[in-house]
Amino acid sequence: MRVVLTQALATALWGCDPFNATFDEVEDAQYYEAQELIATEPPSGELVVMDWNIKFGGARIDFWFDCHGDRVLMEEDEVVENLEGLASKIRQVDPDVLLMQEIDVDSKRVAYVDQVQWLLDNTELNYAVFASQWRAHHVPTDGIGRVNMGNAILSKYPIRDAQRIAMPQISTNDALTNYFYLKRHILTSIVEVPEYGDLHVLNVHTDAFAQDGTKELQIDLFKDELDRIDRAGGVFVAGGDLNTLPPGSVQQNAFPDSVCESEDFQADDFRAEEDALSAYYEDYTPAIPLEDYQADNAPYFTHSTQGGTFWNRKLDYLFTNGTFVPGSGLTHQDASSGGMETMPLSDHAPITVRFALEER
Amino acid sequence: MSTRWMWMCGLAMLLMPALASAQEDASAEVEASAEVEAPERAFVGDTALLSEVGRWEVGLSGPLRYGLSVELELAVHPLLFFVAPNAQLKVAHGQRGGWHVASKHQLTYPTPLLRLLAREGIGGILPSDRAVPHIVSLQSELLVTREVGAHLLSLGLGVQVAPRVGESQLVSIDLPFVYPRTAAMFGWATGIASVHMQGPIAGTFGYEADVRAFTYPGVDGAFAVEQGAALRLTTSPRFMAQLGYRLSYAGYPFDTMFNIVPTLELAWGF
Repeated sequence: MRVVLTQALATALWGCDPFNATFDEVEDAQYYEAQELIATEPPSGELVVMDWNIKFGGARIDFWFDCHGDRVLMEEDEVVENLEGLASKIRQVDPDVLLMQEIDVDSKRVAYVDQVQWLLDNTELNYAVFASQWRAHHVPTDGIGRVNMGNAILSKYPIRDAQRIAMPQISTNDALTNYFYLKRHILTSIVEVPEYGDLHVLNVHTDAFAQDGTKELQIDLFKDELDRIDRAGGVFVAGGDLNTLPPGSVQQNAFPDSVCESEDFQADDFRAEEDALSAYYEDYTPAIPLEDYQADNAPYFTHSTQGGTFWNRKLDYLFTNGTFVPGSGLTHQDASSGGMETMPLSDHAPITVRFALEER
Repeated sequence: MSTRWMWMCGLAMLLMPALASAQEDASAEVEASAEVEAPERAFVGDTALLSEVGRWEVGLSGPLRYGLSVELELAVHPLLFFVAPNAQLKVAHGQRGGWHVASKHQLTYPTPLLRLLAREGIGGILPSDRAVPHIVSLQSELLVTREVGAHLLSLGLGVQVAPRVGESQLVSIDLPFVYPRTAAMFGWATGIASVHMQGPIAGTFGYEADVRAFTYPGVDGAFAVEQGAALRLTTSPRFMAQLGYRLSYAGYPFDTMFNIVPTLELAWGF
């Protein structure tokens, strides 16, 4: 009782941030290093770039928010077992640069396992930067408790100048809800590639549940950031979970695994977003060429909310203003497409592409 | 800024009746002043002293206390009572070498409150899919208090146990001030030690300060230290207002964490 009263008083009197849930517009990202650095040869003309939304190591457990179950918390052995699955896929791909979304570093739901550090220590990757997307000492909803989830960039090579650039929140939420709600951002960094130089790497996870245009605004802001780097002469690889479909998607709503009835968790009707990514495809090179996708959507799907189904929509992307090796883009859907089953590992499939280290 | 002023005005309105009452009657003021000079029986809940026989005290967040006899004081948290039935008995054991000696025994059944907090949606402090067992929290504390001039110095040593009955999937609430007080539900016992001081400063103003340490061996985090201090306004034995802060440095399942919160207490005696 006293705690509730005093915390409320603290907020009212000092306007402070008692649950540590807010961020500056631009702030430094958090840097990580593997416990044991692995000596890495300079890349031979190409970098393998991978993007993966790992669902905080929740694999195919049915959680409360995707409406298939009611789980909130995992035990430590579950988390580690799921991370082992993710790490084995990462080791199989052996990426030079890995973009990750929904990775937890200090959350009760993952038994406080720092997943960035764990993955660094259990793969060939040496360095990482992390920026929070959802952070609070305690989220007083659904028993979530303490949470710190966000986006990370992992690399074999050193990373510098990593920043978290804030993006707007859903405008229709009240202030208290938004205080505890997800705070989307762009994670921007520079990977120092030996014998090549600086490569800008940007990671984003735009809003899934916005119905007020916030997601479209976030997608545009990410594009603005890419344009700014491009105009300045920088070379980038950028991607993440953009939570929208490519132009020309055949199915845009009524997915078989969409079972949420709550207005707060409606994320699967994309009919009003058909051109949300058109500018990306017009200005930059995607890992999966648009004409390939439009010829047949299914081999490039990256998401499904339920384990018993198969991938049924594409939400995850990689783009560059440099050069991707033609035909190197791959969506790792299963053993026949990537050499390993990925459905049990997360609710997103990883995508990879080979980036050509050449003069622009 | 407007919210800040609303809180300030609200605080002033809460204090006003007590301040007005203090100014109304000069004789009452003299009487009150006289009683303030001997404050050891008013608002001394955290010491080894007991409330006077027949005296009631209630606080905004503190318990409702009643002086049952010269040797017994009964207390309950009225707001919590219906969701976490509780009772506290303070027993006086006389004086030893200038120290007042008392023991405090508290019994709480927090299960209904924990089950209320284990819910979906807003207000869900605990996950709804975890079984909350029947828990009885028993806390006993030995208190000694010595008068140092007009000040009261108190030392305390106690233990809390919280036996569980039935299936337990209870998860901890990893928040400052809450975690140390619920840690016994996950281990075998929590040890508590405290140093407390209160006394006058000038006129109706006084202070209260304390340090409280918890240790919960075998439970993640294992320890907590809290320190609080507050400025106290005692207009009469019938009213006390207190504004201060409380610091916490504690171990949790994730790491250690430092926190500070403001504290406000209003208490009435009759």
